[in-house]
Amino acid sequence: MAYITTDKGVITLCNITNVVEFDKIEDGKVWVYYTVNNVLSQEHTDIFSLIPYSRAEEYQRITAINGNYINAQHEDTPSGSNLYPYKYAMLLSDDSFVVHDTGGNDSYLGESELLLMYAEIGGTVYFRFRTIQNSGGRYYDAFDIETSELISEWIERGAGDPYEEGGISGTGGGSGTFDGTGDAIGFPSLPTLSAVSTGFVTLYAPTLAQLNGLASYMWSGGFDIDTFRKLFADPMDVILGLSIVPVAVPISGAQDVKVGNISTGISMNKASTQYVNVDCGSLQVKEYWGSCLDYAPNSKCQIFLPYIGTRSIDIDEIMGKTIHVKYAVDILSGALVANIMCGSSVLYSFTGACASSIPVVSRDFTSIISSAIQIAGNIGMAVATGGLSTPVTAASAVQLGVAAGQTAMNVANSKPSVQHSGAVGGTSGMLSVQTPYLIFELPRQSLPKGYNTFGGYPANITLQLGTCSGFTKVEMIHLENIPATDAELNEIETLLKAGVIL
Amino acid sequence: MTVNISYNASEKNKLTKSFTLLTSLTGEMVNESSVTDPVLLIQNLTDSVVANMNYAEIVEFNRKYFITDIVHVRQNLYRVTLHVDVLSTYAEQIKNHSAVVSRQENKWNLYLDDGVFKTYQNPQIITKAFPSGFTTQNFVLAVAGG
Repeated sequence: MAYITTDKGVITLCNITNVVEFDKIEDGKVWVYYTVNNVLSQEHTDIFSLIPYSRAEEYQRITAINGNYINAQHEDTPSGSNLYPYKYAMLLSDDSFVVHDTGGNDSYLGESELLLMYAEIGGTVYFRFRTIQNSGGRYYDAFDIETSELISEWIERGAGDPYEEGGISGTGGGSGTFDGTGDAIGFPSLPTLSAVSTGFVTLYAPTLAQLNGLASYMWSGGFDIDTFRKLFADPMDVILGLSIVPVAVPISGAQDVKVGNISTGISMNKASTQYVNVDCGSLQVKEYWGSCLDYAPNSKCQIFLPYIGTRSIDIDEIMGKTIHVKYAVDILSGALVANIMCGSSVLYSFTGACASSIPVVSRDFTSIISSAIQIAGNIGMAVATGGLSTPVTAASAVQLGVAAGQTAMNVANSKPSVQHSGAVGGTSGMLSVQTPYLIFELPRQSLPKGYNTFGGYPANITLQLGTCSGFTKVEMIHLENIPATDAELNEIETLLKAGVIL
Repeated sequence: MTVNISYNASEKNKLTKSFTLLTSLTGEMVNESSVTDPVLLIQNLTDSVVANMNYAEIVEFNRKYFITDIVHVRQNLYRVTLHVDVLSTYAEQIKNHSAVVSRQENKWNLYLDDGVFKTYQNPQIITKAFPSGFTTQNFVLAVAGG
């Protein structure tokens, strides 16, 4: 080998031009025979230690292995009047890199240096010596595996591909897990803490007769204002709210209604909890076509939810699945959430309000009316969207060569989206439909007789052509073992890709 | 050289064609000729053959041909231009090939977007109700204190 070890870790020799033989790799070092002045020496010397390549430390790049060439690259760094190779690395067969540091400016090296490029592929070692010129720039070196022919291209510093610093493309991907397992997302549980537990609020589920009795009491003279606990300026302030809710209120038993801790003598059923579930049941959504027409964008779906309104849902998420709607209702505030389970997971949650407030004092009535007016302003609003493709007009439909009619996707995209309802919360909700329902918009086919015989249906399947019958259109094929001319082969491929009848 | 003149009733893009032999001719190649696009000078063709012939086979070339042109040169002499029917000629070899088939008459996957399948502008609207909903109404009275 044409190298010796110096205290700088550099292994270089001067004026060595003869290739020597590789001996062995041992203890992480490469051992070779080298010649000096054409005299073969049989001494062994280590070249460098094999270390893992670290790109962060090495600014040189190894170009790709292509064909029979293994490219190594290094860059000269200027050092006074003499320029010496600073670092270079070589790719080894185990994807590790050998980093060789020449140590830079060393007058002992003289004007030329010999650098070893080494690689081991398939158990065979290849190596090459070359002489480095002393000038700034970059060498792109390669040597042929079979012939050891050295090819070297000198690139001046700054020249080359301006984008090369951004990285060279390579292979990638193929490491997907293909793990399609998921987690079921169930309906949420009702909250465990509620206002009725605090003692600050008591909820009653009175009958109409009981409400009549309480109203009579509140307006009667039997109310002793002196014994009224001074928590309220107005006894009516004790009544926090009276509403109608569209749910069955769970009760914990009858209780005397107290106003400001004063017994009214009116007994009402007390609500046991603030939150109630309303289960609207399940629907099995089945494919109508058994094809892509059942899915977006060809088909669409909306859902009407009582006390919420109409909402759009992704038909792809419900098709072929069981759809389960369950409401969680807060009977104190009237707020509710409709959770929609598609298959095994809740995919949609929509909020609304279901309590219809009954005015007890004048301010209640005012707020109720203003809320109703605001809700009324949203009803019936149509939102036109879509129109992504130009509708077929009469003029274009008769244009020569243009077939009339639109494909399923164009029809779906050209339709505006119309809102089927506005906000239907509170009293408005009680005036609306009380059962959820799905609204499907499905395409209506325009199918010429014998369509599949003329043009077939999409396949994207690898088939042996001999097993096919009828119209067949090929997308990809490799024609071989056919005693046809080149022109005939081209014509065969063209015809197969245009469609043939087998 | 043997040339079979026929009438082909099948589609041009059909792999295996159904043709009716009209006449079988023998002769010699006088000049050079393309194997894939030969031009034949044929004598003494009957009127019925001329009227119906659109297909040919040259046995020695091992190929079948479409008749692309018939020129009446002079009395009883026609110049017939042929172009090789590659599908029929190499039908057996083609059948042995596997290919990625994009469209097929009998083997398909309808979950692939067709791209050319047409629908009418008036979709069908279907509503489906859930089994139950809100079926009751009750008063709720909220009172401060216990």
